[in-house]
Amino acid sequence: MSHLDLMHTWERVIRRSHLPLAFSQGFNPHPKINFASALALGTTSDGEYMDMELTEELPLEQVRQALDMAMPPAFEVTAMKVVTGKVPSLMSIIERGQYQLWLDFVDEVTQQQLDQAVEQFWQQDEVVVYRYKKNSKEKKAMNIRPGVYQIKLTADGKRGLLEILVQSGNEGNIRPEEVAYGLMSAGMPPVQQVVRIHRQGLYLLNQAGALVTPLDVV
Amino acid sequence: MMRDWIEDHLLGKVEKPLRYQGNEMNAVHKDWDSTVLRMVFAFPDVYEIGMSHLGLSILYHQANAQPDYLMERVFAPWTDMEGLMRENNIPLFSLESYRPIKEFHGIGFTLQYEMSYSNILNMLDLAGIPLRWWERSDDDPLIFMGGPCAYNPEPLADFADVILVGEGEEMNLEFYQVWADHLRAHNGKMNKKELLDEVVKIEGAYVPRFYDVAYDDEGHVLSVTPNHPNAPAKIVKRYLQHMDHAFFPEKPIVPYMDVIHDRAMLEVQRGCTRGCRFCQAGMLYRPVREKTVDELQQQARNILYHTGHNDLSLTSLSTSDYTCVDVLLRSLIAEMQPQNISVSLPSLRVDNFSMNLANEMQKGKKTGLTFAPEAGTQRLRDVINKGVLESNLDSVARMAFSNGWSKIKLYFMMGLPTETDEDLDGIAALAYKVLQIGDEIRREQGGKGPAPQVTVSVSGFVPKPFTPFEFEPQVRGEELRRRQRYLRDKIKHKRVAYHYHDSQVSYIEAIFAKGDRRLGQVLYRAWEKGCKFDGWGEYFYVDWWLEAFAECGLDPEFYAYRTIPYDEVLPWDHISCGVRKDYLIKEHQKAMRAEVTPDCRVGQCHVCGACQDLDVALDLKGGWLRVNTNAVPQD
Repeated sequence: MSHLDLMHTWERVIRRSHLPLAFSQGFNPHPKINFASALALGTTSDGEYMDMELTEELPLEQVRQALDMAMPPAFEVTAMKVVTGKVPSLMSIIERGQYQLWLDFVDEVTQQQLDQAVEQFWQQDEVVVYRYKKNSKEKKAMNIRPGVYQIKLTADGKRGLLEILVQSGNEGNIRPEEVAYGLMSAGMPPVQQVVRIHRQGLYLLNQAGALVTPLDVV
Repeated sequence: MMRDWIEDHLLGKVEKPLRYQGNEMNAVHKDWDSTVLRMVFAFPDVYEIGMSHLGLSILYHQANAQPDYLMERVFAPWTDMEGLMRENNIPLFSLESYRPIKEFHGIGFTLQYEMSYSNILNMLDLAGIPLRWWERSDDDPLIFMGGPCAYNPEPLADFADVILVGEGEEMNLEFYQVWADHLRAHNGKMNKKELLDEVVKIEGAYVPRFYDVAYDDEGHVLSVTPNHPNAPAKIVKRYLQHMDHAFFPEKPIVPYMDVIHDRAMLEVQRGCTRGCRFCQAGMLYRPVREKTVDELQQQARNILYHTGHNDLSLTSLSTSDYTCVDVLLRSLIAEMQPQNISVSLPSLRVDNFSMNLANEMQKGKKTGLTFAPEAGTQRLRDVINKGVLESNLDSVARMAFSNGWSKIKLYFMMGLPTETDEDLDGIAALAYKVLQIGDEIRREQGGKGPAPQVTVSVSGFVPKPFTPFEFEPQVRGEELRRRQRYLRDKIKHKRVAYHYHDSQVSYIEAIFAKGDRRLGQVLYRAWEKGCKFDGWGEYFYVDWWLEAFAECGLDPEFYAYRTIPYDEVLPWDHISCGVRKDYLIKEHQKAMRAEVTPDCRVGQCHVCGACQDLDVALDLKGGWLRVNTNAVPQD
C-alpha cells in the first residue's frame, strides 16, 4: 500500500469511528493526521506511529474502541497515548528504523560466506549504492555506510534473513534494500530476489544512546 | 494457503498489489459451506475501474444480503500479474476467499463496454474454464452476463450460458432462486440442461443457444427463431417499477487504493429522457424513475457513516435533471459541510440552472468545468437532439468565468450523421468564443487570476443499437482522420488545447456494438492472437483484429460502414428495451430533417413505447421537469 493510500485509509477509519477529528482551516480543510514515516509500497510493518488531533479530550479506552470498530482487517492499534500542548512532530523525532528482509540467494550459501560479507561491510569506510533521482533516470551515488548500525545475516539453504538497524527520519533515510545491495558489493553471494521487507519498528535515541519508541518519550 | 503463497511470491512483484489484496472495509466474507449458491461477480477490467462501478456494488451486496447466496469478486489481472500467474500456474482466484473461480457455481460478467470482451475470454482461460459453452461440462461454472451491452449480446453467444437483460436488482434474485432450488434438488450439483430449461422461463433471461439465426447469402440476418419450447420469441428487459425502496447498498466496500471514482456514490434516479439520438443509455433505461428526497438523505447519511468517505457524488445519467435536485443538494450541503464532506454532481448540463448548482457545490477551489455541446453547429445539435443553444453556452461560460473558474472543457463527437466541415468549423468557433468570453471577463475584473483556458475533447461517434442512429454507418477511418487533421489545423491557440481519441478503437467498438453472433469466432481468434485490454491504448493492436476477421472470412466493414435499411432484421431484434423500433425509425427520420423532440418530462409523451409496452411510468417526485425555455426548443 502506498503512503497516500494509507493516509486516505486512515482518514476513512477515523471518520467511520465518528471521533471528533480536528481539521485544518482554509478552503480545503485537511484532517489533522500525521505519520512518523512513510512506509514504502509493498513493505509490511508492525511498528507504525501516527498522531491525530481531536477537538475534545476523550478517554483513551473510548478512542481505542471507536477505532477498533472502524478498522479494516489487518490494521491494529497496539498502543496509544494522549499528548497535549505543543510537541515536535513524530516525523521530526524519528532516528532509526529496524527491518527484516527475506532474500532468495541464487545458490545455497554458508554462514561463513555471509559472516565474511558482513565483516567486509563493517571494514569499509564507504559503501556506495546508486539511487534514482525523483522523476528522472539519473542515478546518484550514495554512501550508506554511516547510516547502517546493525546487521545480522543468516540463511537456511537459499533463503536468507537480513535484520538491520538503519538511519531513518529527517536526517536521512537508508532504504532497507540498499543494505542488501551494499552487502553484495562487500562480497555477499548474489541474491535472486528480495522476497519480502518488513519494518519491525521506528525508534529514537535517548540520552544514553539506547533505542526508545516515540511512545516512550512523548 | 493459496493467499499466503500469492502474497509472498507474486504481489511483491506487481505494480499495484492492492488490486489483488481484497480484505477491504465492508467486503463480505461468507462461510463457504453454509451457502447454497456460490457466485463470482467478474468485472472484465482492472480493479480500480471495476470498483468505481455502482452496478457491481448494488448486485454484490444484494446477493450477499441473502443468507443462501455467496458472491465474491474478481477483476481482470493487469498484464504483470497475469504473466506471474501463468508462469506459476495460479488460476484466476476471487478476492474474498482467494479460491479459484472455477470452484464456484457461476461467474457473472458485467458487460459495460464492447472493448472489454477480449478480457472476458482471457479471464475464463486464466481460470481454466473452457471458453465456449459447448466445451464446458456440468462441473464447470455457469457463465452469465448482464449490463448495458447485454441488449445486443450476440457477439458473446458462444461464450455465455445465460444473458440477463435489464435491471439486475429486479431480476437477479429470481434467477438465483431458480438456480438454488436446482442445486438443492441435485445435491449441490448442476445439470445445466435441466437448469437452463427452467432459467429460460424467467422473464428477461436469454439463453442464446435456444435460438437459431438464419442469414442470407450476403450475411444479413434473416431471422432469429427459438428452437426450445420454453424460449420466448422476444426477450423483454426487466426493470424496476419504482426506484423507491429498490435495493441500494448502504455499506459499500471501501477500496484501499485510489480508484477512479474514489467517493461515496448515491444514485438519485434512473433513466434520462432528454432523447439525445446518439445515446444508448438514454434509450435502454427508460422511463425516468426518481427516488424521494427523504430516502436519498437517509441513504447518504448511512453510506457516509459506514464508509468514512469525504466526498459524496450524486450520480445518474443527468443528475441536474432530477426534479428535486436543488432541495436535495442544499439540504445535503447544509448537513455535510460541517463534517468537511463535499457533495458533487458528476456532470453538468449547459444551462444556467446547472451553473447555479455548480456554484453551490464548489465553495473552495475552482479549477475546471466540463460541458458537452457534442456538436459544433445548431443544425447538427438539432440532428442529434442535443438541446443546447449557442446562447446557453455563452451565458454559462460567462457565469463560469465571472464566478472564478478559469478552465472550461468542451466535449464533442466527430463523425456524427450528416456532419460536414462546416460543423467542424463550428467546434473551433465555439472554443474561440468561449475563450473570448473568458478574456473579456478577465479584463473587466482587472486582469486578475489565471488566464482562461479551453480544452476541446473530441471522440469518434460509434452508432449503437437501440438508438435512432443504429441504422447509420460509422464514418470511415481515413475520412475521420482527415476531419481530425482538419479540426486540428483550425485550432491554433496556445490556450486552446485539442484532444482526440483513437479512431481505430472506435472502429472495432462499432463492429461489436452492432455485431451478430458470427463475431464470436472473430473474438476467439483475436483473443488467441493476444488481444486483451483493448480499451487501454497500449494493448490495442488493430492488426490482430483485422487478421482475425480475415481468417474467419468476415468483412468488418459490413458491420461498421453499412447503412442499414429500416426493414432489415437486426441481430438484436429479438431483444426489447421497451423503446419500439418504429419510434427509433421516426426519430431517425426527424434527425435527417434536423427536427428536435423535446424531453417527455416537460409534459408531452412521444410514445416511445417504454410506458406503453412495459408496466411502468415516468416517476417524477417534483412535478414536470423545469427547463430554460430556450434550452429545449419546442416542437
